[in-house]
Amino acid sequence: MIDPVVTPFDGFDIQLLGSEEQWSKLLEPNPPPFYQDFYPAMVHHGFRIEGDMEMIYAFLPAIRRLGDLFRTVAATEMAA
Amino acid sequence: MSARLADIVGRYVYLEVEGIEYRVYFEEAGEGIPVVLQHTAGCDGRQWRHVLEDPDFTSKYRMIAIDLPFHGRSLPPVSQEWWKAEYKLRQDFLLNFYEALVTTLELENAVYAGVSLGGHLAPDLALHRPGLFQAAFGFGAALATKGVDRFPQWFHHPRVSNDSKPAMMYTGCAPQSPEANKRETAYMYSQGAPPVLKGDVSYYFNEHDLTETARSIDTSKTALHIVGSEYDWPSPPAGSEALAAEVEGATFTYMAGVGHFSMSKTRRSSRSTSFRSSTRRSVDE
Repeated sequence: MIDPVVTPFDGFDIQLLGSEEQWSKLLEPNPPPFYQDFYPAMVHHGFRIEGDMEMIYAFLPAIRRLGDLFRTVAATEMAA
Repeated sequence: MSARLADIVGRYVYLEVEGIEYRVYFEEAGEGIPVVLQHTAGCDGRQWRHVLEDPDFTSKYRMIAIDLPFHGRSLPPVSQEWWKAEYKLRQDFLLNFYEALVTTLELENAVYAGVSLGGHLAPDLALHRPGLFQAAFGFGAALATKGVDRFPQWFHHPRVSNDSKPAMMYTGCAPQSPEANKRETAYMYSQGAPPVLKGDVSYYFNEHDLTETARSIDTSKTALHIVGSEYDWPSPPAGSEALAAEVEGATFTYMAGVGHFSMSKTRRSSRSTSFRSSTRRSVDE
């Protein structure tokens, strides 16, 4: 389940957490270096992938693809 | 209709390394100065297939892409009960492997080129086997890779499938890279034996460390060329530039719009020619 509104009272297995600036770079059609995915953004830019590490690594293909989908939606919204 | 055959020949060579015989697979194409090509950790020599079909290289060089033992078609040695020990790639093994390869194939004035793990190995060969190669190219080479001790456990984990490593490797590619090349890189990673990537990075993360010794590399024996790529997040170009700055006589080349798997980005039809031009220029010199 993807919860768009997270409060301190909600638990989570996986959380992708970044500033507006980080998200906006991640969602550019050609992101700047190390914003090409959540993972390098975490390693080099302070973006956070938090939660159950085993689940994060097990679902890494889905998390990676989420970035593709978000970028597609962002590009569509910008074009509209 | 005649068959369209690639000008690549695949063969096995038997190499004795540290008293053990290995049956090593390699593919080669072209004629001229031998250029030995080392794949990245957890992958195999197929990564070089576009380079091996690039006449810019094969018209002047004998390009030789090897599969390290335990990778690709180079199966584990039949004389060893390898399944009783944890797989770990050691620096000494790599150095001895390349000495055996050059000697056995009688390669003269050979050039070495490697990416990522193979990139780190370029300065290690120059330091520990001076003169074995006339030149060594390290793509994504750095002084060391530190601070990632908790990371490799996820490369071989019973509840993490062999799909996760390919997904992570996909993220090492530049966004501008052709989608087919990125998918090909990830596909090759999906075919590695499960423990191998974790075992390979034992050398990459732990043993490879030139912070105290890089200055001892003698580039008059083996010329050293370091290349950094803009989107290479596992080995950022700043780290490659720092290595080159430590070694007197070493060169540094920056490739814009290229990621970690620089050799896989070089389809002739692709817009990027930076891998070709940077490599050709340095070899020609």
